[in-house]
Amino acid sequence: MSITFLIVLTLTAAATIFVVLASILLVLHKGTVGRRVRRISRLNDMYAASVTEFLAADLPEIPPGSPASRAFRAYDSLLLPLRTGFDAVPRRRREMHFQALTQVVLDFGKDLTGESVDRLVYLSYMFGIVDRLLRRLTHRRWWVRAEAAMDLGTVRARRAIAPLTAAVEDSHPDVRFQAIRALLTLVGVEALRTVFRVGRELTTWNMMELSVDVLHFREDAIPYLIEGLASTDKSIVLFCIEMLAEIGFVNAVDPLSQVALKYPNTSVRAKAIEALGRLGDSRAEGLLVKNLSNAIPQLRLSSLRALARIGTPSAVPALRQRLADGPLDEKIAAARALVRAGEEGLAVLQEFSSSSGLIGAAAGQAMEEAARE
Amino acid sequence: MAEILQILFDTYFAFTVLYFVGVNLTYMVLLSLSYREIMLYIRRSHFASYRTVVQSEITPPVSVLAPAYNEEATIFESVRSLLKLAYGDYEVIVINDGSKDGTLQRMITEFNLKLSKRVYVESVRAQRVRGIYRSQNAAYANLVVVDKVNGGKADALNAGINAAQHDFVCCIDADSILEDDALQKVMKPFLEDDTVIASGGIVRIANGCEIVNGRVVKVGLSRKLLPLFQVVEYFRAFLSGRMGWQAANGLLIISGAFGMFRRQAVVEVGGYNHATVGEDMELVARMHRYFRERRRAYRIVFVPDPVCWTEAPESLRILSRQRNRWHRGLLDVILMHRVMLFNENYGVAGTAAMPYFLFVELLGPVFEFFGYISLIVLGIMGKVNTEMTILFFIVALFYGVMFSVGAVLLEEISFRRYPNPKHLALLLSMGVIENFGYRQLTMLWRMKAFYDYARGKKGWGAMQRTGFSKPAAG
Repeated sequence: MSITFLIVLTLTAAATIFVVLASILLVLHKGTVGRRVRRISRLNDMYAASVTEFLAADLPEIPPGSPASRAFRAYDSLLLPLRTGFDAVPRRRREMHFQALTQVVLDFGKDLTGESVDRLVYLSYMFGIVDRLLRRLTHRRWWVRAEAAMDLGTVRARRAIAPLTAAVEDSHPDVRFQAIRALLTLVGVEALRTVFRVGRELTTWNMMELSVDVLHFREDAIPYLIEGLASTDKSIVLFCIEMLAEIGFVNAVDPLSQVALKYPNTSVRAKAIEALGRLGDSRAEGLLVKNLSNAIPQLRLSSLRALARIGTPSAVPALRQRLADGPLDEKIAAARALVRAGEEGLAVLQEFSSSSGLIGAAAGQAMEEAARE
Repeated sequence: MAEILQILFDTYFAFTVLYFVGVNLTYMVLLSLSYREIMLYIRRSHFASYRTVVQSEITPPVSVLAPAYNEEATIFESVRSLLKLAYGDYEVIVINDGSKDGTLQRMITEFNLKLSKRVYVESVRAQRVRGIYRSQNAAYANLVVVDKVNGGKADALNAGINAAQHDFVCCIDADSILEDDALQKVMKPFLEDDTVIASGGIVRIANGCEIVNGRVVKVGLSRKLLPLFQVVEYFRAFLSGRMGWQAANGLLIISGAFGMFRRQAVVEVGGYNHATVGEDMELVARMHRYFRERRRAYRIVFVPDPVCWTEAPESLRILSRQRNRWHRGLLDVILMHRVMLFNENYGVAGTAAMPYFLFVELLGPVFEFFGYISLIVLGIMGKVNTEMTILFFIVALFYGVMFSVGAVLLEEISFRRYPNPKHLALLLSMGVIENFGYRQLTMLWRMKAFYDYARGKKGWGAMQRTGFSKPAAG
């Protein structure tokens, strides 16, 4: 046998053994991970019980007007059993216990309200959870920073407001976004002013997630959303338009009309036009009807869709024109708008439904949809 | 003469060694890229709240297209499970592709369907539509059934695209099972980047899983060898293959069983091509070509988490037909889009992905086959270099095992759908065992595909499915 053969054979055998060993180790590791998960789960249950006890325990009577420190001293006394137990954990296991306690705090933090939140926040500070999260907020790895931002919002650590405000300008979009959400939780609706001032490049996905948070504020968010319409960032403007339409504050008609008329970006104008339709206020009718003859197809289509929500008899002649002359998507939108335009609109549809081709098809479909409703 | 033959075989052997080195370097690069992309995906997913997709009003509506042919036995359960996906606003368009059994009648009865005046415009070519049906039952308000003349899967999907009225279309197989959150996850790339035109999800093997009422309730592995080999193959193809290519924007295939597209982009490129059995890959290759030629920014992505479960063939006969069809489809695509080969105007898709599919996926079985033939001939001539031959086989085997095992490891470090350590051990074993016979078998099937292609064979062949739906107990 040649030396080359032996060398290559040896290397291959070694590599094969390595792969086999790695595979075996991975299978064993999977078993170990399973056991670790079960152990952590038991720890979680233990700390969940302790934290529940802490949250549910009666506080001693505190006279009204007492300083906050009085309540904190009371919390301290309630935390004593938990702290004693935690301090008794051997050093080598303390990290696992800390992680279990942190996880329990985060789980509870998502659902608690009222005075329980104060207790939980106090616990987070006392056990160093907040401190660790604040350190992680400046970690070099983006996913660590993002998770820290997310968790700081969950534990409601007000000391994190300034660092989170800085994190809104982080280099990574996920960190920025988690910081925005955390600020909304900590500061409330006023955080929107900061978010709209420094926030940037929100994706549609971000807007979807943020919309669920902002809608909780309902009308309280309106002033900030109207302010946000003046943002230099297109994504912020789009988001504010969407939220104003969703909340349905009819006094947003004027600012939205301004955006629909003057904003330099067509997609933003189209969005504003659709939003006017969703608000359903008759003050927007004139603008919507006027845009039915706009040279830009996107704006015409948005106006048609908006009119399908408002239902305006005065738009019937223009809608008839779009049904007759427009491309397919405009025909369908015009037909749907005619359904909502009262008797006159239905008469036009009836007239066109017997036509051949796309006009008849669009009219027929709209009438069928109306009948189904 | 013997000397000439010797020279020829030595040259072929040298070529084989070089080919082998090139292929394995490519696999290693793909595996590394895949690992990086999967880790990035998992980290980003940790912060994605998919529930908000269901709650938010901004969620764009989707048309789910499900072509159906002769599926009377399973169509009701399949459609019913599609109507229960966790997504905001979506419609399910079932295209009855001229079924010869009672597929349409069953749907009409079960879903209380009536003929509809829904607009249908032939934006892409499709066979004649006989009627469009909508349900009178409010519970099925988002169901649309298109009845058409038979034209094949590509044609049925085109009809679905014509009937769809939303901006996004999701093309699936009617008998596949989508997980509840699959639509949310496969939509995410579109909502993060306006240049995304297509997004594919992973297809997993349902054989051995517990399925109740059209949902996979417990993940498991089949007790039969063939499906087990296919599980490992799918890991290699999806987790280490497609994930790697999408990192370089060179993804050339989105599975026909589960893919999401911007409807407008599909219409612009002309829809699915009827003239090939590889219509899924052909569409994606054409999209690359179309957007590159017009210098328009685009991305085609693969998302490793949204899952479509499908039934894998359990018999050699059916599996051989499937692999034969896939190979003929691949040959079609390479020939149709050969202008992209080594053409830097088509970016990574042209300079790397297409050559890979040509030399590795398409011609790989040919090289392997002639390698075996050479060995036999040399053996008969008494000219075999025993040392080198043994060495080569061992190294080839090692790399085959390594990449199969690597793909299983990718699954284990990422999604861990198989929670039991025994499952992992079984899959790792299959990653080794498949190199002793199964791979050689698939090589022969793919060789036969060349012969069938030359004979002009175009069809799908009969694909029998046993179905895996089981109603809930009680």
